[in-house]
Amino acid sequence: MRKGNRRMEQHRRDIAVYDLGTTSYGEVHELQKRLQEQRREGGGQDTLLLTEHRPVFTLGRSHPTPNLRASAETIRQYGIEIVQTERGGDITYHGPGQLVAYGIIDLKAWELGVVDYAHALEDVVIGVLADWGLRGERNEAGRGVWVDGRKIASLGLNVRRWITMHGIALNIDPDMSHWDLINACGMPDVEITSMATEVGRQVAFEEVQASFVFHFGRVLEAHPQKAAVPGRDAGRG
Amino acid sequence: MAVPVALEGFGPGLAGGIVAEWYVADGTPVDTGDAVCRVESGFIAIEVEAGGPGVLRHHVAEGGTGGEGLLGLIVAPGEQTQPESPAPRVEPDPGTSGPVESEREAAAAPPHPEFEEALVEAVVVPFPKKFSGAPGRAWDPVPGDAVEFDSSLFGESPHDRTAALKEPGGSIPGLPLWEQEQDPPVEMETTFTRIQQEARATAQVLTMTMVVNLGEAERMRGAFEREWGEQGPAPMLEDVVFRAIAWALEDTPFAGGTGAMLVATTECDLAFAVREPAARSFRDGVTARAAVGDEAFESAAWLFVSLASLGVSSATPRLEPGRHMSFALGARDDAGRASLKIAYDSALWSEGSAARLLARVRDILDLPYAMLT
Repeated sequence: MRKGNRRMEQHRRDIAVYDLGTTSYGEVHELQKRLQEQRREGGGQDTLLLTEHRPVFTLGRSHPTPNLRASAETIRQYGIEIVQTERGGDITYHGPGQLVAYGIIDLKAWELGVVDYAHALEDVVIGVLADWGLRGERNEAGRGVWVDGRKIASLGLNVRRWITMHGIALNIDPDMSHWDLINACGMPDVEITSMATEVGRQVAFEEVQASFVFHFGRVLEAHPQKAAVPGRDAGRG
Repeated sequence: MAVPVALEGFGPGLAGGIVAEWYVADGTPVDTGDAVCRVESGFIAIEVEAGGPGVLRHHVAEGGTGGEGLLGLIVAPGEQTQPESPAPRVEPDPGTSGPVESEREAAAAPPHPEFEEALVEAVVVPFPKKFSGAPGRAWDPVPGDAVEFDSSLFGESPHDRTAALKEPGGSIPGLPLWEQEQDPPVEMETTFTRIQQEARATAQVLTMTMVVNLGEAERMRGAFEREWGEQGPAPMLEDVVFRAIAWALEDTPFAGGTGAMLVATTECDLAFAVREPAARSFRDGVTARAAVGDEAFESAAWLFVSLASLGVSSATPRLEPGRHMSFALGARDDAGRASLKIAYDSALWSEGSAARLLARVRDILDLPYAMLT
């Protein structure tokens, strides 16, 4: 990033990366809130949480009424949760096969504007897609990353006292039928796609995750360091 | 001295947004650091805090647009500071949602220089996959380059959990979670009730038509008629279409259950209901149908009506209460094609889902032997 190039070297952007594995939305949401609060109070550290959620529809703060295309009964049959969040935007879906990256970052310390950061997250995904030969781009229809007019990654942020939470979700190979149940992002005609759909073959989740961290470091000129999840990764090195 | 409440300093490119919510009412005392409002711009929500203690006065009404100017003021108790002229509230277009509205506003504005730059940057040359297959990945610790972590957040917490958690499907052992804000059962029920009521309130019966080719279906029917002979049931073309629909429904949440068929003839309507038609063999299904079905007609979750023998080219099927979808087949033209029309409950089926189902039926009828497996 241009701004990053001007950044003084002494402001090192260290960031701890936690690979949380498969999680329910609520537990990671709670963790994000605590990390953000701790960071706001001047403690903690910049953190990138990587996970794939069990199926859930999340709603933005200003859109408490789910923008659904199917009945609640149908959604219940699918076993999908509905959760209200404090991010901007309308309804979106998270589920297995989708890489979700949440950054809890002090933008002031990183000398980044909010939009700089949003663009950077999109650039990270664009870099990931390029590794698989896909051309990702922005679209005036909305934030996130698009491939040939189809949305492949969704972005949603919450910022308080310069500390971010929420982030970006990249569809690697999710159950696409779940998207049919909602008007994604509040837009009835948006077409959702995934990396597997676009490249026409299976895409390994772990490879995409590693690529994401690599490009996160590249785009944001940060130093991502994998951190062990206490009680789970201990002893694995 | 009054302390401004403003959306400022969040960097270039954030020209402002909509004041989505005031957390604190006008005229209410606040303290330093209290979150007073939330401004939304597309998918970015920024919570603005009070910069000092005092009484909050709103300058921009909830729903109004707040740029980098003043959103409100925090004044000393008793200080008379009347808001100059609150920004007009932006009434959302009932046909669109918030983000679309705000993004449309953004699209109407001249493009931000940085965004144009970013669009150029978006053309990315494929990056060498340094991480792929290499023993050291980008995020792996480098000796002497380690980050100091605050382990107290995890390991030393009084909520430390090292044992397996009770969360269904596993969770994140060690992370101090869930000791608060957990009363989801009631909340979830309320949410579902509200969703259900809203979905029902806006539900309508929609229709959709697709032309299907029945050439192969007719050939298959003829082949089975010859094979089964006089001893077996006499298959109708409608049996093949009925099975194709049941087969296509297997890929949807409405798999299984009972399907009903109504064939209008010059004499009368022949009505049958067959239980689990996709789960049984074709012959078994035809036999059940020939025996006037094996379920009550009213119990069927979906209905297939054929008006083909009467020469009706297209008809809209009725969607009766208790059914989620109805189909109507018209007469074939000289090329063996016929219209297949569906009527569906919009609360249960989206346009896309209904169209995919129709397309699946069409594909099955193009190669009907595939559904004999």
